[in-house]
Amino acid sequence: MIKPKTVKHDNASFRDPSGFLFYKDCSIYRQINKIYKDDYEHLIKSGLYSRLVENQLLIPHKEASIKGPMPGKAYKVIKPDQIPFISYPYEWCFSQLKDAALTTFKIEKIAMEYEMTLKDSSAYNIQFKNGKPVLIDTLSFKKYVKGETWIAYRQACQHFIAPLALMAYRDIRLNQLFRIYLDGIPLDLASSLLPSSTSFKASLLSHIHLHSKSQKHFADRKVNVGSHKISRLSFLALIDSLESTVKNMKWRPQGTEWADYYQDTNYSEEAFEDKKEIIKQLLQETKTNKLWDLGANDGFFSRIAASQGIYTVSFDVDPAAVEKNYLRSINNNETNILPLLLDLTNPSPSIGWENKERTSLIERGPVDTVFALALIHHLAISNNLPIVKIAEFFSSICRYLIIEFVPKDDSQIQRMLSTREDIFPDYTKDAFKKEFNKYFMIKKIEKIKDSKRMLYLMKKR
Amino acid sequence: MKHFKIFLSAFGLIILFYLIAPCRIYAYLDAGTGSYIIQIIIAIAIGGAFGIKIFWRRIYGFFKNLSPKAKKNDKTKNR
Repeated sequence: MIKPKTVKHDNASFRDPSGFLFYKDCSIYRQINKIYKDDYEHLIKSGLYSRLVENQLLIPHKEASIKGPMPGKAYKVIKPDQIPFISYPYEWCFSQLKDAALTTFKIEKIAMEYEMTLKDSSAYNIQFKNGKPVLIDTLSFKKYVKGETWIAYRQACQHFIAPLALMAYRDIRLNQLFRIYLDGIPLDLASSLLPSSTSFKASLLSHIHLHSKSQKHFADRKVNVGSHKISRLSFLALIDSLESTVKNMKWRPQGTEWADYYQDTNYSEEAFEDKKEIIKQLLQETKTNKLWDLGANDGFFSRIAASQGIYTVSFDVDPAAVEKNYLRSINNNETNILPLLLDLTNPSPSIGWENKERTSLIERGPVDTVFALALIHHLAISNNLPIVKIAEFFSSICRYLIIEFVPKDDSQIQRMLSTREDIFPDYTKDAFKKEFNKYFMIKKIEKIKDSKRMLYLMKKR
Repeated sequence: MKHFKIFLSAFGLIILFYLIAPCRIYAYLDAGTGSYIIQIIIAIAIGGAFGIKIFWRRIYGFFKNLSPKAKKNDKTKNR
């Protein structure tokens, strides 16, 4: 029998009466309730589960012999594979959201072959594992009833079609609306923000513009919705239409501030090579299984960590850099690197019900090691953050820190200061060491050849 | 533009049609009446075209499998 103290419900798993996630002894489990018994058995016995797991579309699980926290309701407890880092749609680049959408529609099409259908199509049900999007909600399936409509259609439009269309046709940064609208972007908002030219695309006209008009038209009407059935062919046509809509949406990463960063640095070839070698050496002096590379750009240095078998989350503020990083990870079949979008000066907060449903960046840490390469001057000078605040923040998210100090006479900083007053008398190497020393022990300092920059290896006190 | 108007009129007619008959949907997600209705309209409207697409895909697949290259590939796979 489980002692209640050792069990903790997952804060994001409470809406679906079919079951819920809980943690026990640092492992994640899912209780399946009795009301979901028939659907679960069909999922397993029909062969759908095996097919999806084989194709890396669904998270694998094992049936566990422990009792669930609510044994009266429980039918079974399963132990799904753990996801190394939970990420959210507002942290994904365009292609990540697009791949999540295509995965959802592919799963729905396969499920229909086994007389099952997805009962929800939340983008939050998709996570990245081994570099690929997978469905993590094993309880998302229900038996298909002949003639029924797709219950998850509205959610598919709000979670996938609307944000992707806004990113592709209006502004790539509009996926940030996910932070405000937890259940996807309202279609009336998407419809009003999209360029009017999108009304001439049949797919967007129907799935967004007319859909939003229909929602508005029927919102305050008491309608006995018709007992109309749609044929299996029409049902599949709808999924096919959603899939084609997503496939046809494209965005090319270019023209943003950081997209061509490595073509525009002040490093000589020698300095760049030396920096690579020093980072490799410093990394070997840490015990790192998981690493966050903050300000990773297109993930060049993240790949040094990933190539050493370290699971690396590669964060950057620029959607074009993250897009390039993700596309590269897909092209190279990389399994232990996860590019994500993150504004470090305003990191992902805790949001949702009770401010607990989606966890903040800090709550998803701490991590073994953080890379902060060519980053500190952007925080201290571009964003006016005192060095002590930066040190304090880093100490809250990692055990080891590999950080690059860029002195004020570096040409990058000189460029930054060329258009503003220098109000940073405390931005010095000595002040940097003094402030970081409050939170970290400085283990090593290495000067980068042919450069004024320094690399530090620090361990949290 | 003329075609666009015809398209919209057809949509209007189908919406009216679906206002008439009664039913209930059981699910833990709220599909929303407007989403339910537009889904039926779209699904019916594109169902035929999808049927033709599937038909042509099968014909294409049939002839593709008859080609010497496909047969050669099949033999390789069976080894």
